[in-house]
Amino acid sequence: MTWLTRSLRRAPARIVASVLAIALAVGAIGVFAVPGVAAGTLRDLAAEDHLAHVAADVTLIDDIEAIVIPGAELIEGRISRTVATDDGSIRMIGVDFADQSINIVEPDLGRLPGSGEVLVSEGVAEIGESLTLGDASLEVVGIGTTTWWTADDVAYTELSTARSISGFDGANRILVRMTDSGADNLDLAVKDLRSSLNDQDANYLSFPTTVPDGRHPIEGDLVQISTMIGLLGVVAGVVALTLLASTTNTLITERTREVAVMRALGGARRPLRRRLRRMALGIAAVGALIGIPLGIVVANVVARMILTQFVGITPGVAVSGTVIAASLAFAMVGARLVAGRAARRVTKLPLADALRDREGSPFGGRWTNRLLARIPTGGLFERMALRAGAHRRARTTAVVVQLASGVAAVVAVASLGSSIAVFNTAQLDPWTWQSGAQAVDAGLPFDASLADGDATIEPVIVEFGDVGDWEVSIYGLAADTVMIDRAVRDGEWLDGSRGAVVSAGFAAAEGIEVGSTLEVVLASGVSEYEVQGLHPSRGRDVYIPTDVLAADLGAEGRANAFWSTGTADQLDLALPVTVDVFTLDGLFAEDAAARDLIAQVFWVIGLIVVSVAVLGVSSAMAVNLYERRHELATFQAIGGQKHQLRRILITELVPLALVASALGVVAGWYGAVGIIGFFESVNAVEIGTVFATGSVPLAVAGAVAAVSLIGVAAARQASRRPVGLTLRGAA
Amino acid sequence: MLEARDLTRVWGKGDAAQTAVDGVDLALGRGEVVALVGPSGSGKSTLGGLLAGIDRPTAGSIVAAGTRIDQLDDDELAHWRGRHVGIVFQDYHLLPTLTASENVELALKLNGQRRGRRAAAKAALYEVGLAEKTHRLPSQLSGGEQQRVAIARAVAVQPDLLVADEPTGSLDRATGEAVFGQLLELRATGTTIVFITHDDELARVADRVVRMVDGRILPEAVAS
Repeated sequence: MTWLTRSLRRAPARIVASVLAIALAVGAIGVFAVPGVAAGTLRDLAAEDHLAHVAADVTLIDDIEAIVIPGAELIEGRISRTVATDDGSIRMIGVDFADQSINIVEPDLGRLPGSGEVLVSEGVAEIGESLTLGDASLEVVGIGTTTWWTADDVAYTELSTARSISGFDGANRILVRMTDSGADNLDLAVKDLRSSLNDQDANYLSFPTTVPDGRHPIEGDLVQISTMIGLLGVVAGVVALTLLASTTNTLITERTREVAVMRALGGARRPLRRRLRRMALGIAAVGALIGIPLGIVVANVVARMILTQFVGITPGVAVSGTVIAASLAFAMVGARLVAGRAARRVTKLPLADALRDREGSPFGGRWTNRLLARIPTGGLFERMALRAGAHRRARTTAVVVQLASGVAAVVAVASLGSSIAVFNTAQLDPWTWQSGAQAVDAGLPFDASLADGDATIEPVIVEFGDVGDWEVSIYGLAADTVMIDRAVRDGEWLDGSRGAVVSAGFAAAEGIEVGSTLEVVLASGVSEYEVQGLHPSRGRDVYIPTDVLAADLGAEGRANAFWSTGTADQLDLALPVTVDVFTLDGLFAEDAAARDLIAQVFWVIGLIVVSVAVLGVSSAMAVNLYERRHELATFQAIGGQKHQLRRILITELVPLALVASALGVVAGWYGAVGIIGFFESVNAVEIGTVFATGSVPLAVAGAVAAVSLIGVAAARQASRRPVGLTLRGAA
Repeated sequence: MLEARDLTRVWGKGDAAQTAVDGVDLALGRGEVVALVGPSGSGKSTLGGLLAGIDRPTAGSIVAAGTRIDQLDDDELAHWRGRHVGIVFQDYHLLPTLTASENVELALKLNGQRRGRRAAAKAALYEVGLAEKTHRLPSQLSGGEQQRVAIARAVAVQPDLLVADEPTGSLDRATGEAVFGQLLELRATGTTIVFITHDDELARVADRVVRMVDGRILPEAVAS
């Protein structure tokens, strides 16, 4: 520590720069914590609000007490209904506030409502205002919600008030908390609940939502983006490791002469190495102390971006203990390993050379050096530049690795962004409908024959179900539908019989083939279909004839949506329940907005990686300049000017940038392919990787510009110290 | 040719300050050969560095051919050195990644020569007895050979001022005399030569011997 303190007094800027470089390297590791921080925040909210493990929209039941689910800790019935307001509609939820134990509703402002009162989520209305729900006008007495409905506008009323507004005399939404909330146990609970409902002549109206293991229901929506970010952390980790190695190496290399003097005075190698290692570890520890909070900031800023933008939650500060421990270990173990190697090198140098602290190992010791010295490679400056790169291979490798990591990050981020963009668009591509109206509440409330006679409108069922371990989208479509491009990759489109068409990518992942039997778990229970074709749609989609699906759902001749190849105005069918009206163009626009958000998050991470890479290259150049200070001073002593020095350094760095760019482009592409491949396999969908061609010139130009700037700065730094002073130190 | 007035160079600051050259006045004539002698730490090398323009004085002035070289900016000073000065360092300071020939060529390039550099470099190396080793890297040469390359580099540019710090320190006597003889031949072209040495015998060939003690030049009467 004494040596560290002395070093700080002697060269404060150098030590502070080293500490900051290590801090940034450690901070970059914080990217790994993003998925954990996002999930942790959501799970805290889930625990706070005591969220349901199973939530189901059901046909009206009178007696909640009669529901029996083995292993259930709590069962609660509520009313959920979308009702008209003065300016549209809102989800109304009736809660027994005196006895609520699941999806607990808490007021952030005001109080819980009594009879004839309402509590609304933020932005719906202000306390003291009146809110029209159906035919009733209620006074707003509180603002708040439960995190289950975090992104939705909701009006919470007492059960009795909700019953009076909806006309429902019971409950149509069941919430369950299980003692064991493991996924398998929840599947059993869904079956038990169905059977218990059937005993009361009731059934599911839509496929129940299950939320296992203390998760938050929206966590699944964020898994892909946050895991992608975590994988980008690998790139950040590689760059950070190189920066840590480079900085630690500099710290020790700079002490070559000092160590030599100690050796000359009788100091043994072993204690000197120990001393060097301790100094490096001390600096790494200080760097980690600053870097870990920095990493926490990075993780929380990115997680906040995701949660705020994607799900409308403004999270508090969360910390990933695992990543903190890993960051600390990264700094200390990494510094120890690099310091050990560098200390061995410094203490092994021949004493006479070390005392002069000249150029380290001489150029010409390797046959490659001698060969290079005989190959004409441009003018004198170009030869100097090229040979300098070959002379200090470790430094050159560090520069190339860091630049390549930066380029790889840009290419990977851009390719992931392009892939997601193309995937999102491709998901909508097969649809040929232009507008739609879908019932907001669960169930199949429409008579399918309502649109008979209008060839531009078709009744449709949009539902969810399970195939194997996967939740799938189920579409009930007519065999001769004009709402989708019916071209299939294999087999044929629906012929109206009891068949199904499945997304080709999902089918490939699950081993589903044309002719095989597809077992689908629907809200009503298990149904089987013969697979007739494989469709190029990119999701996990299953298409079933509308009438077959309606019958299987227990609502023959019914549907829950109407789609039209015309405009939304043409869908004026006087539908009996609240509907959500949408257009395909609107969905494209929503996708574009989501893509922009994803792109923003990716670019933030890309920027962190690139910053660390640039800092790493600068650090490697600092070592390089230190080791070559006599050579560069000699060059200036015999008349070399700053612009010539600049030319040599830039000539040295630009080819490295080009090599690194080539490596980085390849690594970035394969990185993106790997990440997308990972997601294809864990999601059983066909995403496809799109190479972001436009990112290549950007990344290459960026790398060349960065090294040019670093070269300019390095030349400035090298020419700042008086030549005589540097050469005097060598004598 | 060059005139230094009240030249002072202080190393370090505050309590650690050490005056290496202390108010030196020195005038060098064109073609003059001056030996700087004195005990270790007397400021010879520091004065040599100041005269060669590789260091800047803390105080005082240096005028060369009417130019205040101590007032030139870094690039102007580097340009002046490249065009007018040849330096032989005690530690040779060859560029490690360039061959013997390329080291000399580089000096010629920085001297502004555009043509015939390779031939001139080879000729200079021939003169110092290294005709067979022009393609060797410094690491493949002995200390004496490196010293001769350094001399060839300084001589090849036919400078107006040549500053040599212990130019024959690494050479055996015979080679040293031969090589030093080549250095002295430059005087015929009008080059002013300042060489720093501990060797009194070598100093005798100089037109003038400047003796230094504690950063000051001893008066000639005292020195003799």
